[in-house]
Amino acid sequence: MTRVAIFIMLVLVSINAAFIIYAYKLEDEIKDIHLPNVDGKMVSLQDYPKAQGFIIVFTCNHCPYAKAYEERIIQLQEKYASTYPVIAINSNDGVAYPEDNFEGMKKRASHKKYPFVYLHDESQEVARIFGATKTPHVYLIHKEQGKNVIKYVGAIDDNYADESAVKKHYVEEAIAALGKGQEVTVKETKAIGCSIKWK
Amino acid sequence: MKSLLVLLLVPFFMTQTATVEVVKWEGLEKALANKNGKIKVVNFWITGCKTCVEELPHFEQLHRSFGNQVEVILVNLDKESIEETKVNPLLEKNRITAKVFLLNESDQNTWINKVEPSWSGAIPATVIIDQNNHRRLYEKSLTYAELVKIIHDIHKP
Repeated sequence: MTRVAIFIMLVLVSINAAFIIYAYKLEDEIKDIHLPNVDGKMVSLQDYPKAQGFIIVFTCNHCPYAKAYEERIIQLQEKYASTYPVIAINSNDGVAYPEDNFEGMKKRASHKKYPFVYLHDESQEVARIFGATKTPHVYLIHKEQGKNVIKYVGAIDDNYADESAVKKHYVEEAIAALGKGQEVTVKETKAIGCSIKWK
Repeated sequence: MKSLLVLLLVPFFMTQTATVEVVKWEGLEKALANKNGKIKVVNFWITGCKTCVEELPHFEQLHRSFGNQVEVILVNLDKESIEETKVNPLLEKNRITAKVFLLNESDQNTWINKVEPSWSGAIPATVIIDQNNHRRLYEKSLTYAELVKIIHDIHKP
């Protein structure tokens, strides 16, 4: 009888595992990330014990929207490196889009002197767990009692085409609110981006 | 004589490349709500998106073959400043005669949910609106065969 029960339980567990649809939501605690950086070293969120959180941004080399935000991502890192460091992740299929393969990432990072880590999500698992769909796609993480919690999802600001015309700096405003111990007012935004190129 | 001239000119005009109409959200919203009894196939694209550009001919073919029952609306999201240099040459190259709007709205967060709440904002993306204003989102590239199948499925009772 117990054996039957254990067997049924195992079947149920495996069915469950096969059908879990990942995609974090706001206020979810995220799992740690282990991905290779363009410098060849592995990066984990635990490498940043003093950070108050992270600006995780799914981006890539080829996409016009990612290109439009490249300078602004650099500026975010320059401003928040010690508090909310940028973790840039490229999950695109580097075979269909050779510009986005690991070599292409290394070239771009060195050419533009990226001050942030630029991680390669070759298996695309991290993008799937986050539910990222496009580039750029930002997840702002805040450390709360040792947990990495999602506080904002969406765009960097409200004007991809013209930085000088930006009215709402979504990511910076969310960081400012968190710094004051306040609730983030705009928790989610949508912007046009290039679809992540799935394998 | 005059009517003959008109007849001769009709095919000429019919194959003319589409002229881009620059609109704000209100302009596009009006076009999407237009009740003309046709299924609306609304595709969002930019010139710098390879997969979007590759699927443009499929929408043009749909427009030419099913124009009596389907209204194809191509919504270009490029900056207005590159309309002359990039958008128009690409339309000419692909001989696009379907309707083309250039949506001149920088704050995308204000209109994406109004097109379709389930759309994440990733392109290529196509929204198909049937005669009952029911919307189907395809957040991926579509082939001509897929488009035809979707139209046929909508027509099924």
